[in-house]
Amino acid sequence: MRFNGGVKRGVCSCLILVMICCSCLYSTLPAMAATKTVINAEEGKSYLFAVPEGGWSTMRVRVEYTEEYSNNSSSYTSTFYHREKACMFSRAYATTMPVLYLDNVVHRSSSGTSLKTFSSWTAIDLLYDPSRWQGANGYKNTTNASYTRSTSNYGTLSYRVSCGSGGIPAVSADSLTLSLKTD
Amino acid sequence: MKARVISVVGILAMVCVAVLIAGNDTRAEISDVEKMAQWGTYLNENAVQSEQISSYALEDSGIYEVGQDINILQTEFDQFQKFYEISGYSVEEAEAMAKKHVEERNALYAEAIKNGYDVSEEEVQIYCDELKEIIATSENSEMYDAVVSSFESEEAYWQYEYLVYQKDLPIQKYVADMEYNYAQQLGLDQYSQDFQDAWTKHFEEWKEQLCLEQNFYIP
Repeated sequence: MRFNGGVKRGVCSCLILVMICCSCLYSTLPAMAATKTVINAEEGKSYLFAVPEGGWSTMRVRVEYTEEYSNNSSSYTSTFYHREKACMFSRAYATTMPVLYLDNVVHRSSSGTSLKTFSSWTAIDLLYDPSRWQGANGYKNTTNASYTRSTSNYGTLSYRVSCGSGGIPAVSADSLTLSLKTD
Repeated sequence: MKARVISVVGILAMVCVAVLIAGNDTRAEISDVEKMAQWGTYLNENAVQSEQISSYALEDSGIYEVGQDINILQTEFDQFQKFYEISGYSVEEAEAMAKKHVEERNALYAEAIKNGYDVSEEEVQIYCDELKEIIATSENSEMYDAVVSSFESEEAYWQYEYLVYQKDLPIQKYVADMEYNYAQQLGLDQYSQDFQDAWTKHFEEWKEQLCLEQNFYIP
């Protein structure tokens, strides 16, 4: 089988194109996988508040904290570019209402020093099981924060369940912690 | 000599201040569990009184305030005041807070019943069973343990709670529906932070309005 010069050039061009595409895919795939890396912490808890009526105001909560990051292999760093805080809850009260507050996410050093506080949040839609929870709300933040991949920094999401001036305790506080080490 | 006298007076003054601060700290250091133990003791005594009260005519039990649709018993007011005293408020503060809170509870109850929010014995029992489950898995169940330890048995405590929720459950159902309706009215997601802030404010205003409508007075 013989090819003339035009056909040869065409085949060569196609092969070069295929090779370029393959090399692009090879270099892009790991990066895409990295951008989708997610770490998260979550916990479910119930809180009791004694009230003057003789009973209890109660609140069951499930709190979730997620960070998404991408790795930069040349600088051996990770950039955390998207985070979410969310909660699902059910509560029971007559006159004294328990309320859940999700605080800002804070990145801290291993000594506990605050490095970055994320204070700008946008509401997001959440799916939840209505047979288990009365409601849910969630928020996202897209501010970048970069650390070396072996960092000992960690992220915290503090939350408070309070019951106004008419409950004992007035406030119960808790937090979720997420290590930002990625290697 | 004069300098020595000033020094001694200064040291004495500092000691007095330190003692005063230490005294206040001791009061502030009463833990929530200790408060709950005191509260349990009071409720246990009050529960006995409630049983006695139910066997007498209402006018024999002592009325604290009379409203348009409901009367507030003196024992109920006393219980609310005791709760706020145990919480750490002064007698005067506790009295004012108890008056406001007990009026709100009774105004809400009267309004709930007027709007058909009654509960069956079975509903109260089911609610108490659910509450037991929540308590068992709660972060601060030691609060419950402290209250119950003052009762002669856990069963005795839940007999008392059954009476509490006979009155509280109609309020809970009514308030839950009102909260839902208010979210619909505002066009907000009922569990968004925006709505929670709006409802917290509206709930307080609504309770105040219901109390005004009851026009409570001391007989």
